[in-house]
Amino acid sequence: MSHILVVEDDEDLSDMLSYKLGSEGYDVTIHSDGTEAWGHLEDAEEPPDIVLLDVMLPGLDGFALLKRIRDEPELEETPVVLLTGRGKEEDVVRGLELGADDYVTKPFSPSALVARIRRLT
Amino acid sequence: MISLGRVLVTVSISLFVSLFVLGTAAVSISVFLLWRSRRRAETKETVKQQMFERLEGEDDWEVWCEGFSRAEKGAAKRLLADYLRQVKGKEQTELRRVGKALGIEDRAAKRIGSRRKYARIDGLTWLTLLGGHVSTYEVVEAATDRETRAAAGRYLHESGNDRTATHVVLDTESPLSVFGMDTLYRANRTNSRPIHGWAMGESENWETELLIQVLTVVRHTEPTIDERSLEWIYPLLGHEKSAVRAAAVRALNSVGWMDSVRESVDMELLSEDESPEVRRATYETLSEWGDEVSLLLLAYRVTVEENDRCRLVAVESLHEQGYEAKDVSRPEYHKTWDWVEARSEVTSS
Repeated sequence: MSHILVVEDDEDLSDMLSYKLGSEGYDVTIHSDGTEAWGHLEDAEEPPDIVLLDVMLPGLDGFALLKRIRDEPELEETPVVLLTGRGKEEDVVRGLELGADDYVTKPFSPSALVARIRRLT
Repeated sequence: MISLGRVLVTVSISLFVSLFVLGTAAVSISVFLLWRSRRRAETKETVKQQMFERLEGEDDWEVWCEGFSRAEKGAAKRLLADYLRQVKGKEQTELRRVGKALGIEDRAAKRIGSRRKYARIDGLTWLTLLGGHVSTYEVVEAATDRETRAAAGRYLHESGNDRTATHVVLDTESPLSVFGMDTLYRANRTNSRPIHGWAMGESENWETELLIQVLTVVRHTEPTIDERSLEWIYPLLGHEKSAVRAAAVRALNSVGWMDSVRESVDMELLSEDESPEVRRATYETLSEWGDEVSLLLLAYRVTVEENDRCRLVAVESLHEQGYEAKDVSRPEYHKTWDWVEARSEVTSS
């Protein structure tokens, strides 16, 4: 079973994502804070199969967390999908340049997001 | 004759009783509020889980909603208000059906005719979220002030009527709310004809702040290809307020390729404006235009610019284009170039 780490501070939205991804067969871990999520990644025995990452987070924001993931040898190959309300071109470019594998702007289709995640795992 | 002692005792007892009653009331209210908050949280979680289970299949939402208590209806409504702002596609379609099953759309359609402003805003907001259908006439009638115009404009934009959305939002001489400005941007993002069309007839009546807001929106929208539609901007380049002049220059950022713009706008004059704000805006626009004539003007202005921030904007642009510092006998000029080059080395390493 693939393991997905979801970092999203909107509790209701993360619950929906958790349910949707869980029903698609994923094992889901949720963190609502970027710093806590980084702590989880550092301590985890195995890296997640994919990270779904909001940009606007308390603690480390999504871009900073993405940079740390890409700088960490054990995580540099882990697929990361950014999920955010920040849809300006420069934000998309920044996310992709920092190493995100995909960038999804809100409002988004959860079903389409799952399809994108399936393609990466 | 009543003794002082007895008076003091009576007052003390009264105070004690009053404090006791108030304290008991405060504690009771706190306990009640805590209990209610926990019940609401539990109800919300239950409704949420049921909603998720039913979202996967195309459920009969009317049947689900029929048995709802008032608390469950409230929880479902709050969840919808959150989710409908964040999702689209199949899930949005199903959640909208939930909203209709709860009767929210019908109530919203009635509320837009209310005399109370916040009832109309609430109605317009829910109609937008649920994709509800009401007549344009009713929506326009509901728009009587800044906030209701913004809400009506957003509904019209989401319904695909960007021209009327723009007219409703801009049917004023006073500044827009932040939501109104955002709505104006969304309605004109990919086709700015509505905003230019309205501005051509109305901009002379606008207050300064509204002028600046509209010019700012124009700057960020897809440039118009109709050269005549920019004519309302040119007189604003000579406006008495520097903030308007600066906004007008920036509004022309993406249309430097038009001959009519080059003929109508004296960038050399603007680059000598007494206001540093206008000069800075001019340098930004020259940089966006990026052609040889614009960059030559920029390269000259950098050598005589007195304001540090303005000079920095110009040097950054020239540096990006591959220009280098010239042999100029002004220490501030070289300081700015040295700073930009040093920063560029640090960020590229």
